[in-house]
Amino acid sequence: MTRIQKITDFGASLLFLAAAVVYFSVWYGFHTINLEQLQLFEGTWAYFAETVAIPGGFADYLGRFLTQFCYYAWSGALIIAVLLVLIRILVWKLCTRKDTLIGAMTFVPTILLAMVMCYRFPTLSLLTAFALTLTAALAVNCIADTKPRRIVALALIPVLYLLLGSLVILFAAVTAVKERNKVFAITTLVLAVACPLVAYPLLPYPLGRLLYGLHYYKVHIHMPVWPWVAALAAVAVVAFAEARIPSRQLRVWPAAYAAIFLLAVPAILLCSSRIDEQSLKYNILTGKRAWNRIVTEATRRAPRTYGETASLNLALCKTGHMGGHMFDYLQDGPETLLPNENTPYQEGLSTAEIFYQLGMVNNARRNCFEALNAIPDYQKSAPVFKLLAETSIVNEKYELARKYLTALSHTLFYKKWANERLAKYEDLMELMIMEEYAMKHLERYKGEDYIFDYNASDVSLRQLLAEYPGNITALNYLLAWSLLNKDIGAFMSDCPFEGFTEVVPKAYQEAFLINWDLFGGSPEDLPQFINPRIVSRKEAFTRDFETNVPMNKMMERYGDTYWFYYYFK
Amino acid sequence: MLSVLLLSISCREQVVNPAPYGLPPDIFPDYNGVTVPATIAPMNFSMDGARLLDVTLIGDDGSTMHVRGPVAKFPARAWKKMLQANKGASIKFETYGLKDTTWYDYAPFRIYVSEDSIDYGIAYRLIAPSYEGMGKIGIYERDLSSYKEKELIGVDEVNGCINCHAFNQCDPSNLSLHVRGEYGATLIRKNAQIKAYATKTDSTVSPCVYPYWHPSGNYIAYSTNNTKQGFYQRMENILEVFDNESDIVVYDIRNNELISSPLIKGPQSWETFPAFSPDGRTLYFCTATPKPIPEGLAEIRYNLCSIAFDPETGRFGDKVDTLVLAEPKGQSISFPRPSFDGRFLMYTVSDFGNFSIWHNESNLKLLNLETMETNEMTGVNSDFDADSYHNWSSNSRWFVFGTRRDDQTHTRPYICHIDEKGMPGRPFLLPQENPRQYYDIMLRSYNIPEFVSRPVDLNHHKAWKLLKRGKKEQVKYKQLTVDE
Repeated sequence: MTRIQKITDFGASLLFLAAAVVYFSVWYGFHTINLEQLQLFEGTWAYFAETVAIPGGFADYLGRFLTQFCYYAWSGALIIAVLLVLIRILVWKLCTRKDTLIGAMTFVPTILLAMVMCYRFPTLSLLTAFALTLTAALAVNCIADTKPRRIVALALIPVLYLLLGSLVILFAAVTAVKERNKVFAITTLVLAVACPLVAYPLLPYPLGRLLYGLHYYKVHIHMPVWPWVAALAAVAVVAFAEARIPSRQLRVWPAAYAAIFLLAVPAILLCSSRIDEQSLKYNILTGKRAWNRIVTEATRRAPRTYGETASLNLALCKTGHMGGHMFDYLQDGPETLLPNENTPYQEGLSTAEIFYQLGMVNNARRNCFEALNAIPDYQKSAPVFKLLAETSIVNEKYELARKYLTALSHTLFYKKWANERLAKYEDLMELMIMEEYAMKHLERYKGEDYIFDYNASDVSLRQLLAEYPGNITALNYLLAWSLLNKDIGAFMSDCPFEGFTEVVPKAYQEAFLINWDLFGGSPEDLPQFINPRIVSRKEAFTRDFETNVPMNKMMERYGDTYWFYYYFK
Repeated sequence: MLSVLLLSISCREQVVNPAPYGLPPDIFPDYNGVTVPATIAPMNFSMDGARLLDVTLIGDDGSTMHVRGPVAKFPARAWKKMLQANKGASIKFETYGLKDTTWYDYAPFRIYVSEDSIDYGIAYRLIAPSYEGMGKIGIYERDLSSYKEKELIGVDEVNGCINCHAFNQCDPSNLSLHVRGEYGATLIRKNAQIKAYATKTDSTVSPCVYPYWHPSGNYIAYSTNNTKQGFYQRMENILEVFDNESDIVVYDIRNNELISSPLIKGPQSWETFPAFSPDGRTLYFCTATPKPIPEGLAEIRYNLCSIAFDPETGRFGDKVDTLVLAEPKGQSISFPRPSFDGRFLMYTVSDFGNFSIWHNESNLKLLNLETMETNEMTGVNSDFDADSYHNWSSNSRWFVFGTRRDDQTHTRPYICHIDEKGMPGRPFLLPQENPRQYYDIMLRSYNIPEFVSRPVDLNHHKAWKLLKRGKKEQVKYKQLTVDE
């Protein structure tokens, strides 16, 4: 390669690195954070021993270790990008012939792996296993003498299978290609394939999973084919570079890289899901109690599903804007307030948070457990453990809380939070007064126990208020529940119009006016807390409504009002 | 320098001027005063707040053992030897604990080593305390003489809910196991042959549910339940599982046929939790008067009843006997389990319903079948922590039961000795190498712990293939009349 080609090749790697960092931190940041949300990496010997106990466990442990850093989208993205580029470099290093075409082709396995990382449940363990397999192949290739090199390669296969999993087949294939010996090639490949076959009777996993790799993807059914296409591509590139084709310097060398990158963009976008990204965004931000951020995000891009709108409504409630701005956003029945049983378990954390904030601590716990059980590879989840610890503290189940806190104290990013609480165990009163626990303790159910009925959520909310009238969240939710169910009568009887220290929220005034109309009240007799501008707007709405103004026009003019919801949804 | 440093550290860790504490140590697990079998795995323990424990064991035979560490870990061989040498006697534990910089001298405590043997191990289901999603479920087996645990069958392979495993009087060669979901079936193994069955018929309300083997191995009693679940608003009981209808049927393995009698099947009453007497001539069960659900849920109470069963003809008796009338006392009975020597029957009592494993008020009771007197088991039950599912060892000298007494959420298996007069000893938590660490990490519940007399030989791959192939034998149903 010429110097300029080397610079171009280096530049391509750098460009890919930068693009991957930007993509996985900005465009796809919540997918990156979600990797960390679906695990609880404990820096303990027991966790290490448990993780490495099955084939591929070491690569998985390393992958989980790195996944911790996905706590921040930027650091997670950087790790993903570095691993992807590292894999590209390793493939490149394994190539005997080095020209621009080969250089461009070495990006193919990396791009295929990047596609996997755009799915909903990828693991960094795939990337660590891939990188370590190629490193092992490179290391073996460095042994100069043929015989020792081949002996080491054969001896390494079972070891690598135990450490890295079934990607040992990639190691075997690459080594076989490099050795150019049929007997050796057949021996290594047979040995590599034999490893999962030998493990099969000893382990409680289906053969298909053992062959695919136990940790290369979190979901165990419908696993993407791309990891193995990437492995095949890596072997193909090395084989192509190994072939004794006369080296032909392509004059269009930048075009090779450009073509690969141009193909990569649609391929990666095809595997990405902006819908999932938005759903994860709301779930994660709700778990982090980033109320203002949720409202800001909703202003940029409106929530789309029941779960997302429920998160937004909670954020509006916590920022004191529920009654004022709830109908600025599209509402669609009570499910946009309180997620029902049909809510996907993946949104369990945000659902749990809603119930926790209301004081329905048991419902919060239930949804936490469902969220844990929705993790496809049965790992724990640090944010869910956090909430479980909090619900346990609020319920005075300190021994249970201690278990969750102890697990969190072994993590990198939750250690401080957990240790602060564990330090209070000498004086449980001090623990209880941390954050809002004492308030939540007061707000939670204390009366008669009964089975939760989603359709009678208003009864539960009313009971919460009866037990602790200071539960503002429950009051807001009770009023919103009535509004979303178009139960104006219930709303009127529950709404403390005279109790608002500032102005009565807009949606409540609008609902009041509907009730006023229903009972034929005179505009002159309207109470003072009704804003005259809202009255004028209601009159305009009524005029337009009675003259059958098309719905899209009505939405344009009154889409932010409760009247529009009441009459058109 | 390094050796001097190490020496100084080790010197500092010697028990120096211990302050008398006056009380036994507050160890986890609490092994103070428990009765154990001579083959039990080393009963390691730790003490919260203690950096270091210095423990000396003194057997009644004069043998001693000394360990020191953050966790009191006893070497397996020496432990086994000591227990064998002290069968029928006791071992004293002298414990010093280092808290901060002060050593404390705790009052000694004892464990009692029974002469009664115990089975090879226990088998149980591990399940997360979730309500709808399944998570990682599996049936596991644990060797009681070591810490070895083995997964027998799990969701990694069998994609569905795995539940209600049952052996015939601790003999794992006879096995019944349900798998729900896409490949759902009831797996029944009699001796070496395992088959998958479809147990829902037009005449039964559901597939077979709670199993109990007939001692002959020719029948399995099942309940069939139309089950629902709901979630409480408060913490105390978390969730409720209840039936809208339930019956009892007996599966005749030889004829591939479910049989029942109008006395134990029909809408007039709800029957559940069948259990055969050890002679196979009596079928115990729980029965309740139906109430509208959910409003009448808290008034559904099950009594303990029995009906005669003739294993030669497969016929039921013509009347139902009530053994314990719990309903008037505001109690409800579940999980009747007769001891295999036929002398006792243990059951769970809760305030209402039948899913006592989620009822904090659940307690165990022991009915003497000879005198019909009831032992309240006060030394066994916890105050308010769901002491519930239980079963007997093959020699009826031990029982294992599930309880949430450790953290009110996760069920743990406790093993308890019971003497020839029916007097229970103090139960102990299943030992682990590092119990605190193990039970802190283990956030799944031990469900349906059952003794097994030897390792369970279950080929999970074969079982999975059997389910996946979908070749399930459809069981027939035959309704007997009362006269039959």
